Amino acid sequence: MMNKEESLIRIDNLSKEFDVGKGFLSKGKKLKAVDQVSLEIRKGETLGLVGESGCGKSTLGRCILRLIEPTGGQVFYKGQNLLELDRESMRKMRRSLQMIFQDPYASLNPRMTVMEIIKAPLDVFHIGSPQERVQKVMEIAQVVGIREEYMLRYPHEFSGGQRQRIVIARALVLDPEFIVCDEPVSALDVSIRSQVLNLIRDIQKTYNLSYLFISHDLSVVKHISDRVAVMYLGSIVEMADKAELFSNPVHPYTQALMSAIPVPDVDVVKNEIYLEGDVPSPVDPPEGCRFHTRCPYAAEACRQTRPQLKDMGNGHYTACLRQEELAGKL
Amino acid sequence: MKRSSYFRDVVGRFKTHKLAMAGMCILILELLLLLLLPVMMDLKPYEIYSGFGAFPSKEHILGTDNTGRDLFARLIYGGRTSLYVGLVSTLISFAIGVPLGMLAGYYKGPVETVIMRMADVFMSFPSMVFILVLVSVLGPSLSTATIVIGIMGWPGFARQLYGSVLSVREKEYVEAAKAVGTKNLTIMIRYILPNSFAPILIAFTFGVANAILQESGLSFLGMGVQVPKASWGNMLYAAQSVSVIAMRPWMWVPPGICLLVTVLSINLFGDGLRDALDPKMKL
Amino acid sequence: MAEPILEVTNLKTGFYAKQGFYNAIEDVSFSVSPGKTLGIVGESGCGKSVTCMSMLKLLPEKSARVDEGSSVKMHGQELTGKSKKEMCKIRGNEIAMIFQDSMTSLNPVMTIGRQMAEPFMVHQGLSRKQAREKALEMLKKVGIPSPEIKMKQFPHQLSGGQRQRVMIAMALSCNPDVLIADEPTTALDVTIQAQIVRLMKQLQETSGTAIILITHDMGIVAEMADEIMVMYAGNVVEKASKRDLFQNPLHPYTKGLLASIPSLNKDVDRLYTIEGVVPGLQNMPKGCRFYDRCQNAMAVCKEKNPGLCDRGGRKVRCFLYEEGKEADA
Repeated sequence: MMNKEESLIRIDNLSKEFDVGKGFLSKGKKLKAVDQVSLEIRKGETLGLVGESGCGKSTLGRCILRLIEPTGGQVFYKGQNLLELDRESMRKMRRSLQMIFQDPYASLNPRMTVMEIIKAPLDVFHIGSPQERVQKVMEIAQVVGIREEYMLRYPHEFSGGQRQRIVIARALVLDPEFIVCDEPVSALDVSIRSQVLNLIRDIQKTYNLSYLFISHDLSVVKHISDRVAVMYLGSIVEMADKAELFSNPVHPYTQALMSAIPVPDVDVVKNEIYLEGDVPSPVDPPEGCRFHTRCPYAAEACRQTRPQLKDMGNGHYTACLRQEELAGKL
Repeated sequence: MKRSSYFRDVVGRFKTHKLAMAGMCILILELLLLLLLPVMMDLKPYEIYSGFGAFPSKEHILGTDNTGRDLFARLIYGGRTSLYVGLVSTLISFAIGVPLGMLAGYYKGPVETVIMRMADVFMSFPSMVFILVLVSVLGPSLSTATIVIGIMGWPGFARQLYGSVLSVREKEYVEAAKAVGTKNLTIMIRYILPNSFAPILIAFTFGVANAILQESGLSFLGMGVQVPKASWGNMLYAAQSVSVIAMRPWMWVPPGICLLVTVLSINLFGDGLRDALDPKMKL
Repeated sequence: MAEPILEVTNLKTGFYAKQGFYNAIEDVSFSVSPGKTLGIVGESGCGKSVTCMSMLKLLPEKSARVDEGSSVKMHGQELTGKSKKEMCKIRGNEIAMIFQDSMTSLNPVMTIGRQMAEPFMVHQGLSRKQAREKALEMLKKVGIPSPEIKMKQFPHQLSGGQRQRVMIAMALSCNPDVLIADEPTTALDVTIQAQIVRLMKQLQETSGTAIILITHDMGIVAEMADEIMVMYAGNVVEKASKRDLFQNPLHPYTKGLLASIPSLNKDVDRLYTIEGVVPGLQNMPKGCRFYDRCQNAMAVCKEKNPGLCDRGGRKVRCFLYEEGKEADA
């Protein structure tokens, strides 16, 4: 695939299956949340991951950090296979790999003060003396814009936007290299959203961070990412540089997703592609191409054969059997 | 902007609960009396006076018992024993039940199965009968009663905590703690315990009330605190004879009332605590 | 333009809290005409849901109070003085509602068919069999696949999009004149959201229902609304036709809001931000409620909350546009 030296995170055929409905008498089924996903994230880059709820994007993010143990595949961080590490080595590795969570109301311990919350990661790794830790926390707090006098307050005294700043500070305090951002702005109000998005971008430049930015909102992903991957039912269906993907979407799902987004403008002429039906259940995914049940271009072959992610040149990958035909048509 | 804290909110809500406040006041008063009276007055609970089973009089304001001991002195010392057994045995249950419940809730799999099935087994014994058997094997005394009641009480705490840990464990802040590499023990103590503490604190108060009752039951049956040591339970032991019940109410009415008031106050206090700690639990 | 079917003037609602009484919304006026859609946009806590709840008298009487000067007229008939029973009849019959969370709005232990048949039996006095047929017809109308099977299923067996369709079918079952949709698509995925938006537009075309659409999503109002009302901290700050609002927003808040949304068509390095946070009910500023966050704030804004002034058929609450001033942006 891509140049190996450049990649900070590389995942190969990563899969995660959950057991569902396994009971005393029933044998149970497998839910394929993530199905053989391969991708790379380079140093200093943001990879946007879009998809609808239940497509496995959050599970993928958590599998990379081993917050959920994957059931197959590999995750490499700087060439080191994370899945081979024992518990203690993995724990040490977490210094460089952090996460920003979706719900700032749920991801802060309500019984700890802001100071304690941001300082906790430093305590975990015994970094510096107690004074140095406080110093570091104060520095980071200033970077993310939390005022000094708020440091001894509890999370419930803050608004959603301020809480998300605390979450970001906690992720930043260990000087990580890679952060998984799991829908970091979708719980926030519109006018607060842009504040947090700008902050996420600013700290990326300051600290040379790499992000996996998970979101269901294509416009947010477009704003923040360098490259974008589109996920449907546990697999990546299309992945390309941002400009390439948005100007030349090839996979029918990507096209439909783009056309489904309501645009806050009146004179935009939209390429109307309208998807019928619901996303099939990942417990019992369709044979062949996962998308054929909703795809307006589905042919007989799509029902049989599962398309693989293929490079169309210039780093634009798609998983569609009819991509050559369709690329010409659209 | 006013600083508000969780603790202050809880105190504020507790204060609005009138019955709970009453319960707390009674308990504080009772504790003060039980602690201070023996120091201030010259109470001799073991001294045998002439004239047994005497009607209340100037010298013995609650009368004397069948052996001629001063009943007021025995009531005070008996209260100390009852509260001691209640607190200590509940602390024992707490000390066993909380770590086990935490482990069972935090680690899935075999740990959970072993601990929770053990709790089921303990809870399916008729506990009074089991305690009676144990006490008669070990020999009745204050410490055996305390320890045995304490050991029998752990599954309640373990289950209570297990339930709340199961839900707190899934919270995002616990995942966040894991994501920064926090050790399991730290997660349990700093993240899970403070957020699942309210229900077990409430269970603790009810546990004390329950243990006091169990001690009285044991003593009433003669298997608890042994005479000459006094406890409210073994004072009631005297009421096993019909003639005492009918003819000498001063021997059993005061300890009975004390027992009732204490247990009721503790329960009211616990109710108020529950409403104050978790306003959503109240429907 | 057709006669407005619902007219709200000077709606003012407040809540009793521990420390006193606070106004949640003030001076809210609007009207909707048949076949038209009014979009009410604003961030959480701006009062958009309170507006609709007070119109329908759905707020708890113990803790909320609708001011006496408020007027809500439906077909020229005043609603504010109606009794609970009369309101109950109006809700569902003449005004229907769709909520964001379809899982909690449907009864989990009743089949879809029974839930849908109920209003026909109650409001139109149909027999059980007739009501069931009507219900089936409605399910077909909202495009539910295999409606006969879905009739016998329970809410949790349906997907989120299907449940929202059921909600719409139930809301429309009595041919209401006005449909209030409170964040109808917020819980849904984008492709499903597109389906629901299309469905609502189609149904409106055939039935001529007036829709009041409450949402925080500027994109949704751009797709659906004819007229848009922007609310901020309990005030209407701007009201204009869709085209005017998106092409030439007047109020600094509307401008900021539109500029802060990342766009699919433009690339910017940094997004525009409105600094600060929305003031809480307890500490509303004396002057303009947007004063602290406004880039164009003037001395007068701190002292006085501006009135809603008319500007070529559209309304805006800002001193920049008061009479005599010609500040253009």
